[in-house]
Amino acid sequence: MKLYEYVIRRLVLMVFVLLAVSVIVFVITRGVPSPTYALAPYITPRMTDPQKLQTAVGLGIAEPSCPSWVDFTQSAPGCITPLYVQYFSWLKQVLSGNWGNSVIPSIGVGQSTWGLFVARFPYTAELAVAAALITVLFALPMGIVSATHNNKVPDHFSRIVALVGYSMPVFWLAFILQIIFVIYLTLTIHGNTFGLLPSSQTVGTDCALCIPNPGNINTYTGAPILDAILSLNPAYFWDALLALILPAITLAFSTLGALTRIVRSSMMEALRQDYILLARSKGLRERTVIYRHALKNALLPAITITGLILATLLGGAVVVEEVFSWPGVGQAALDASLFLDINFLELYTLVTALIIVVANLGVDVLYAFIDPRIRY
Amino acid sequence: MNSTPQLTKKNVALEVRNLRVVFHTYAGVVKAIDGVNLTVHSKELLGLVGESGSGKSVTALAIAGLLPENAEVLEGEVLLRGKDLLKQSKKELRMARLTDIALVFQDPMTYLNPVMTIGTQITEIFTGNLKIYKDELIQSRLDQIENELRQETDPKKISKLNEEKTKLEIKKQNSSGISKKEGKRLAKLLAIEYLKLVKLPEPERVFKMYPFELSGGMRQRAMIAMALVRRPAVLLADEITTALDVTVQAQILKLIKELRDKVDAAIILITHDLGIVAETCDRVAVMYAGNIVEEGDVIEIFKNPLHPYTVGLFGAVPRPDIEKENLEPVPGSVPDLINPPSGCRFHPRCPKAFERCPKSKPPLIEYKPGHKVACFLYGG
Repeated sequence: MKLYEYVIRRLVLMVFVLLAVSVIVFVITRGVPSPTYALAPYITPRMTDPQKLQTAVGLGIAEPSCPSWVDFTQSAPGCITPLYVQYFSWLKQVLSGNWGNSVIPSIGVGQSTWGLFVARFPYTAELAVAAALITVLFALPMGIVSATHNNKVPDHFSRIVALVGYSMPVFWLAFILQIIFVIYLTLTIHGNTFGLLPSSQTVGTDCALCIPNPGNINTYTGAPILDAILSLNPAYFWDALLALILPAITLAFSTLGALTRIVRSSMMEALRQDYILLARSKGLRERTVIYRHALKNALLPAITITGLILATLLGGAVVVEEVFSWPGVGQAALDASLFLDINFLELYTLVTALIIVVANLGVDVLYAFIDPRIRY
Repeated sequence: MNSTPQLTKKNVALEVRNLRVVFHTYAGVVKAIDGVNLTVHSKELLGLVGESGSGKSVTALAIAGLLPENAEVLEGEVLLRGKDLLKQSKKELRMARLTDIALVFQDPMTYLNPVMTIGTQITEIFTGNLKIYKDELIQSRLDQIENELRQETDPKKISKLNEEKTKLEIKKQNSSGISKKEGKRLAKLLAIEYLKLVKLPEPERVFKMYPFELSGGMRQRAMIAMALVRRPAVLLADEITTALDVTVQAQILKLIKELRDKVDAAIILITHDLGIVAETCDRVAVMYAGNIVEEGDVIEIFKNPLHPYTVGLFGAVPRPDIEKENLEPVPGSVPDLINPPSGCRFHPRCPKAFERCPKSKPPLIEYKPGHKVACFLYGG
């Protein structure tokens, strides 16, 4: 089978996975709490009861035969449309691109859920990619050095770093970094004292290193750094980069440990193999032996983990986004679950599932490029 | 039988003197190699035989400087081109492996890197060390061109080859190195020549293949090509036929014998199979528990084994020409090398042991010209 045939087959399978996820999400959001929650974005206190009921009927939640709004809220028999019927009418609506409206106070009221998600996702993506990059850039060398200097100082050092990152609560690390870089390390400019780095995703004047009034950028992608590059605005780029530093480091530090450990153990495993002895017996440089012969064999498990890490990060780092006021989907998801914004939660869960499925597919495709024995 | 090369000292390729290696393990210090002396000459095939755990492979790894980290060389010398390899720096040892000492291992499946093509695994030897191999790469291509010119009749191709020849000759005179791309091209041509030499069918195709796409015999041939392509002075072949089935074994051994005449390498064939030694080697050294107990001309030793262990080994091999009810195994088993027996390490299993054997270690003495033995029965 050719690689592209395999990819197509996996993509077809993906549709079924997502349908299954949508059923679970639907049952949890609509079946478990009162059916009125699904109505929340569409009814206002000023509406009369018959108007409210009409809205519910229009949304396919209430049966037309339901006598009154009160009966509906009390789930009287024959009033609420059966869940599977609701599911199909919801699915039809969603597939046509209508995800409903959002009810999150201050950030989403009145906005369409899809619009809210699309506006916020680039921020999450930017943070996730930055954190994943930092993770890989540090974990890979740390894992390799750990394996080649097994039980020596570099190994102990990287193991301690990995363990600390692994076990430190993310919100706590975020606070520590904020205290150090925003409160302790300060600079006074023109009589005003600023923290070294910004504590949130704001561009402008709230940090010492920031460039005040960096001007405006055009929105091409929605991700500030990318848009700053595309708009050729170096000042804006610099500010956006500064804002990214603390949250990205916090996130990376928490995912670093897992990858370091995986790289370390798979490198050690690879270095024990017979082909390493043959490579050394050929008089190759130790560098070549480690980075060409061992690393290529050790990369497979590392890629699996990296794919999962990136997928998880793209799903939104709820805690980090909240602490750093990062306007991504994770922060919105937290608010959505607090205010029972069912529409947003449904969209968020499905997109997260989609990302994980796609990341897994990407990892499987990468395997075939790295290991010639893997053919689909 | 083989023609025996002259056993004069004139072209000693490698000499091992009084090598002692121990392994530090949790259970204690394993005295794996206890005073091994070996000499191989150019174009000679020396068989190193012994049971598993007798120290054959450790000897080979010690010669190449590839002992694992828990091993320690207590004393001894490994002389190659007049230099003691054991006293050299890591870099010099690497250079020795790069140019002079090549190893071929037992299992061609696990010893070849599964994610690299055969071609890359051969050419990386040169492309990673272009400075050292510049002259050799150019010279071997020039030789190839000469050969092709002799057979070529198409005038177009002849002029093309001549053109390449002139270019290469200029590069040869030039003191600066060759470009990476050129090095890669030359290395590829050389690799394919050696894949042809080890009789791999369709060498150009094999060059691009991964180890898992080849059969066991083909992989072993590829590994031999990988070793020979550096024109080593010494080739250490560690149980190279063990993982192969019998027909392939015979092919590989035939190949080794043929190659011995084509390249100037001294070959040490490590094996536990006496049949292979009888068929292939010129000389044989018998190892037991980290010592060489007997060494000499193959015909001489097979006709007239002296050491009781060698005698026992031959008794344990089934022979269709002599009718025997049962094979006669050597009684007992290989000793524990953490606490090896005192004196001669074979004495607890030796049918002819006498009071002197446990007291001191018999030296390897020349019993007859070209036949050495380490046993008190024969003096010493």
